[in-house]
Amino acid sequence: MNVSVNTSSKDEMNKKKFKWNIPATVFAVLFIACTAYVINRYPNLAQKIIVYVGHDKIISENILIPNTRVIGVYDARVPHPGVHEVPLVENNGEHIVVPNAVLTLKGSYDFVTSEAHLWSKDAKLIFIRSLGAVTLEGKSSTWQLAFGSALKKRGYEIIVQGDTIISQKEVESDANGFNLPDNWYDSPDALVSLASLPQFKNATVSGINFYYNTDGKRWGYVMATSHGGTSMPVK
Amino acid sequence: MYGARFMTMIFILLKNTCKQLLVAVLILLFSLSNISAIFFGYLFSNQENLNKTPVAHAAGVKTKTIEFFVGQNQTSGIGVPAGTNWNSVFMVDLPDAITSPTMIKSAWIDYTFQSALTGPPGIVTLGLTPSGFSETVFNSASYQSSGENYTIQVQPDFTAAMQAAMQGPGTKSITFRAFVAGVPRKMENAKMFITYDYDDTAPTQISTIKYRIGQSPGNIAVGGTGITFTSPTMTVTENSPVVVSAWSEIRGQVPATGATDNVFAVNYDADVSSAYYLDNVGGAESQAMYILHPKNSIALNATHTLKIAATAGYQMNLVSAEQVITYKFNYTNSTTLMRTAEMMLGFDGNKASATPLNVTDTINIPEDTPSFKNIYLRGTAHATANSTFGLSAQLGGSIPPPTANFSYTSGGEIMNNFWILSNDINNLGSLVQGDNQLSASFTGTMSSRSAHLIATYSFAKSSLTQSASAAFWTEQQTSYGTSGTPAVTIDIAGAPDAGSLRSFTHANSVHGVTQDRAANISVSPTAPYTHNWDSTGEYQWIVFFNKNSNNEITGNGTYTVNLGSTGSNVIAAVEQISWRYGPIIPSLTSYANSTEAGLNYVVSCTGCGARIGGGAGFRQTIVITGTDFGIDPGVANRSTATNNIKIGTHQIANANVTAWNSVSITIVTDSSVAGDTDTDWGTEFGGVGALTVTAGGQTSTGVNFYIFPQITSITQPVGFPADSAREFDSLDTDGVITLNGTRFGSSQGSGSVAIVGQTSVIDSWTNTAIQSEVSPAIADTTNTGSMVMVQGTGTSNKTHTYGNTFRILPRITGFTPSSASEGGGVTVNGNHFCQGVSCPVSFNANNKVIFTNVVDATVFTSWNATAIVTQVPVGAISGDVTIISNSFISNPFLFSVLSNTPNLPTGLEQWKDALLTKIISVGGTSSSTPIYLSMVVENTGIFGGTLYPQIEYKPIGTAFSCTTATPCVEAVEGNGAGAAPGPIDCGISANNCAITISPADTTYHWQARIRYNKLGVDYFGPWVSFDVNLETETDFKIDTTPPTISSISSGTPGSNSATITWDTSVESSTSRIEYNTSGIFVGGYDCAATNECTTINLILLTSHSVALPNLDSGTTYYYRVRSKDVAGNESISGNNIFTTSSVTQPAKTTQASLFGEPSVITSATTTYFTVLAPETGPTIKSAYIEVMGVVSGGGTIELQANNLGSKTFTIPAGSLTNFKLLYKIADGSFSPSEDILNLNDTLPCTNANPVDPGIQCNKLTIIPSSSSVYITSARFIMTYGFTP
Repeated sequence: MNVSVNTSSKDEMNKKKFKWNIPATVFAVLFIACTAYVINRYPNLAQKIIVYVGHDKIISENILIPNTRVIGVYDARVPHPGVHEVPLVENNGEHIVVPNAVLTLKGSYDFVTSEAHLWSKDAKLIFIRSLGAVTLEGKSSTWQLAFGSALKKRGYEIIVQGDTIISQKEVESDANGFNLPDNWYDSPDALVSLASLPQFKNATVSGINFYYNTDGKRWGYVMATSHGGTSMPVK
Repeated sequence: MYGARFMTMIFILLKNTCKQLLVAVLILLFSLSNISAIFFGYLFSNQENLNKTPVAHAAGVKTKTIEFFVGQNQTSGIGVPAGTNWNSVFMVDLPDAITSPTMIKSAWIDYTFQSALTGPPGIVTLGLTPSGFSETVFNSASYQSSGENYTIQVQPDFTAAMQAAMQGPGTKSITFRAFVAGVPRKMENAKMFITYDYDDTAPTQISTIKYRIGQSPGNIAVGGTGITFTSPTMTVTENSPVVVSAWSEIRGQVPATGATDNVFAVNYDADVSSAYYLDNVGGAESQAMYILHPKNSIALNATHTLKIAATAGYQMNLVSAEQVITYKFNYTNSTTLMRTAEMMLGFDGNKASATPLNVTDTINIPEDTPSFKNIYLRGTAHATANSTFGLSAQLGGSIPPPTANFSYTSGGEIMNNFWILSNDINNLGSLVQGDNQLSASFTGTMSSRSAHLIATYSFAKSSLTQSASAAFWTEQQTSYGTSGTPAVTIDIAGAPDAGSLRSFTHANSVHGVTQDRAANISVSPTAPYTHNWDSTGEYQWIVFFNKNSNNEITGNGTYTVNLGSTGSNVIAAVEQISWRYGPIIPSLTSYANSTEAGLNYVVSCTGCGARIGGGAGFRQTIVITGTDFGIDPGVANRSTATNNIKIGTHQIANANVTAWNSVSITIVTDSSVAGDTDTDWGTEFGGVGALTVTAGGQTSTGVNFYIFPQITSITQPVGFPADSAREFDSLDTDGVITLNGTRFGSSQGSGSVAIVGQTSVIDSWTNTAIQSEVSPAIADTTNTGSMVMVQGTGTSNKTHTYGNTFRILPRITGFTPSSASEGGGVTVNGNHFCQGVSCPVSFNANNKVIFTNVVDATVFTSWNATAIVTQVPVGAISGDVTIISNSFISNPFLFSVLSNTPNLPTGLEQWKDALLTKIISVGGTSSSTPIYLSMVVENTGIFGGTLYPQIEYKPIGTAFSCTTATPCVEAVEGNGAGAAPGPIDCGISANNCAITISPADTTYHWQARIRYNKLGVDYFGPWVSFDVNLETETDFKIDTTPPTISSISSGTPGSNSATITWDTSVESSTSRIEYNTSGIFVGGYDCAATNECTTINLILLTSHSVALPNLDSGTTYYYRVRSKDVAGNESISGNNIFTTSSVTQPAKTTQASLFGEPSVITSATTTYFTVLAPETGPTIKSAYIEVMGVVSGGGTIELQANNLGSKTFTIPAGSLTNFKLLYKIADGSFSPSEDILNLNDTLPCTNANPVDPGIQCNKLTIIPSSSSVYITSARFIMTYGFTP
């Protein structure tokens, strides 16, 4: 990714880079396509493949979809370790790109909420959990969303990959879901909050959960970072 | 006004669609509707604000007065007939007026006319009709007239009419109508004053300024060329000025010396002159000439000439001309502004006094870089006769003598209301910014005089302090001769500087009685000030000024004006106010933290402020309230040097100032917004007066504002649930968490962290991160709570409480016992075991104890916060144990699961007797059954259950059948020894666990093991053979048959000995003879209870031989032989007999002297001696000791030899008694022994002298009872036989 600069000299530099970025991008697209094919054809071949294109570090993932049978509130309180550690602060302009990471955490909720309500009109969220790498834009290729219903006394798991729901099923659940706070901030804001602190300058993040703290009766984010699980309230 | 503009646009649009009628109605409705005006005004004013550039001085609403030319009647001849309207249409434009129904504070018309001589007194009716509105009518009361001509000025209030008309922007066309009943009038004119509130940042503004054009020094003859004034340059410095209304106000006096009307010709520059008519039918007093000569097209920034000539009638006296210019300009692009300041210097109410009016005043010019364009003095007074006047001023305290004279020579006519515009000023051009002391002098003989300074100057628009002035209509009386105390409301927008107000009252009336009169005027509470003047009795226009020297008007409010004048026609008054707008200092009165109301501002608070930083989720919104924040400088200009919000020295960035209006500013504290990084906030933490608002370059007084710390996130140990940790233990990091956030302080200092109510040990502390240890002192029954941190160094020690969301997870700290076996009871020790509402009462999926991560405990005994009592489940192995409480998992803690398999038995023993006192040695033989086998049983570390000893015995050579750790039918088991772990020694009979067996006679080997039974389950230990012997080796033998004795023989006995032989040919056995000469034997098993046995020969033999020495010769002996086999079985033969051979033996008696003591023996005395019997086989027959001596008084003597018993002899009392005592040692056959008699000093020699051991092995002890015993001698005598 080119970094925005203000000086004219840097503009010139960017123009030169742009000339080279065209073939590099074409190559990257072809490479990623081939990689995706290989991953799909041979799913056990690798969990991820990393390709560098300029400052972009492109990660192709092979997400292991969980075979969920029971949804538990507690499950999402422990951060998912993830499969790839993304630096919270870009180093030397290196930018992590996950091709299929198109939705933020909140975006995934907005994306699937209607499906949950089709399942049960009183469906409420229990948790959201990233299953793939998390980019600095707060996006992940795969999100696992758990809903609960007081009417059905059951849970509903939806897994969305990219912009497609790849799995949705009714499962057991120990909760009926919880009311969401108004205007809750999204995953990018949570990441920015951490990245703004000097102690996270060299830290990485590998997963993010949106969980409900039954003790304080509030929602929060918990991120798997190289410093340990880091929880953050959402008021 | 913008609402109306908007409607106009709509009108134009709809007009094209032929809906004029409907639109007209709409416009009318909207025009009449203040609500619509407010609405659209607000809409458009906001839009306009967005495009405004903030001014350097505080933006705001201010008040000013603008003058508009209404009209000047030029009708000739008899003038305007009585009862005839004079209409004049004029334009009013207030481009900078604020949109408010009450923006017009005061509006009136100065209507002046000369009442012609030819009619009776009349009634003045004035009307004002703004376009689109109905006429507002003023009817004055009738005034008195004696048929003389005189000038009348009426000032009707049209404030309400103008308030209605001026809503909405644009130029308004207004029709003025003058109607005077009963009298024709001439020289009528009118001008309008409008005092209103305006937006001083409006892009287009309007101003009224004045220039002195000229002042005639004296009379100007009629019919001549008149007088031509050359004006100063009429400078206007603002950008793009457009003259709206301009005119010259010409004043003078015309002596009434004839009956010819006066005709005046007035023209600017090369303009065609205008003719103005003044009726003059003669009289004792001069007539006031008052002409408003318009010139709207006058060129600015240029000089002009104004020619005034009397073409008919009479001479003119004291002709003066002032230029009034009202113009619009582009305020936005202007860098300087113009104003005309009119300040009253002084007055008096003296009547016909020649005393000069000398005044000293301080004039304040507050604006930056003032540039004075025109300064002049205005003097007004009344005179009774010809006079010469002087009016001068200069800077400083010295009264300047006038250098220029203005003469009035008209034959002594009284001259009322004359004006002098003097430029007799010394150095007023040197006025400077700030206070200027100014002295003035008004000389001449006159009454009720006043002097004014008029200064027109430019100044920098950026001036923070600016002066202003406005006039407020007070009253127009409508009844002749009335006095009154009308109220005037002073309403100045903005905040004038304290003490800057100046004011004076301007009043006029027509006085018309034939005597000198006075008028009272003042503003309460000052007592009315009397103005006196001379009068010839003719009606005259009287103008007088009253300086409110006592600062009666102190600010906005309603004041009472005293107006009193008997014999006067209608009196009118206007209050003229000038003041200084200082820089508008914003006033910050409060703020509210809409995110965290607990941090709201209260007076002198220390708990007020906000938290900053942390990203969108932690943004706090602060709404600052106060006054004079000015208009919004625009989203890009809310963080400039002149408009900003600061906390300490930190200036809130544009992006974080989200709203701004004059009374409210909203900021957000999030430091992650681009352009306002956390670094930008520095390490400031606010404090007393830290929050300030700067608007227009002026900074408010600060109010307390503290930056509070904010915990934004918590980093817990890896793998832990969010918002959780354990109590700290130095063995791991489960109790170490990091608080992430903002404004913690650069180091701990006096800061602290308390987690769930207990203060934590701090490992490290930075401004954004605190690593702390969860206190182990947290109550074990408290699992959730808040986290409270107090700012550290460099802070105000503010706190942040991080919700009630933190959970202390269960921690296992150990086990009791530290290890256990399957089924063994175990207590899991730790803390915070009860994570639910209460402690579990049974195991379930969310509450359990897990051994080695795979095996759940099944036996629930008890569960509390610090201990769980359970049993080690079957299948558990050593490894980590965890507990789950209410789904929360503890730390893993290593636990050793011991094996129930019992130990190898130890201490294996085999016994002959039930009391377990007779061990059967390894390979030993028991002569009896049962025998008893024992062992020590133990199951180390295992508790409970029962330990059982088991053995298996087999004849040697036969293999054991029990070899595995399973039940075995061949095993013989003893009683349960007791509970594990032991050890329990079954070799102790009291333990009652030895195994009893009764094997047949043979040899055996045996093995042992332990069976451990716990809760009905058997655990078998390994087998171990006795003494680890091979199965071919004998462990014990059972032999219950005694040996068979045969071939007993005494051989041929000697004279003193015999040898007995016998056989036990079946088995080896011991050898022993029991013999005596009686033939009666009493010895039991193993010669018990007899001393007639020889010493046993333990050598096991089958052929036995025992020698019997020291037999008596010729004596028959009886004997029986005894043999014991190895098992102890003893065979005793029957009695046998032999007789020793008879031989003659020699014998001898020997004696030895033992004692030769001549002295007294007083105590026990021992002597040692040797007994020699060197022959072979000595046999003592008799032995004794003889003691001889003398004793006085009798007494006892005790004798003892060797270890024989002592013998006491009693000697009868006497003076001296010889005695001889015999002490028997042996009698008969005697075998020497140590206790009785040691022959030949053989060893052992126990009776020897300890001092000389081993030399003499016998001793004699003599113990006297008194001190009077004399031992004379003692001797030993022995008879013995021997073998030759």
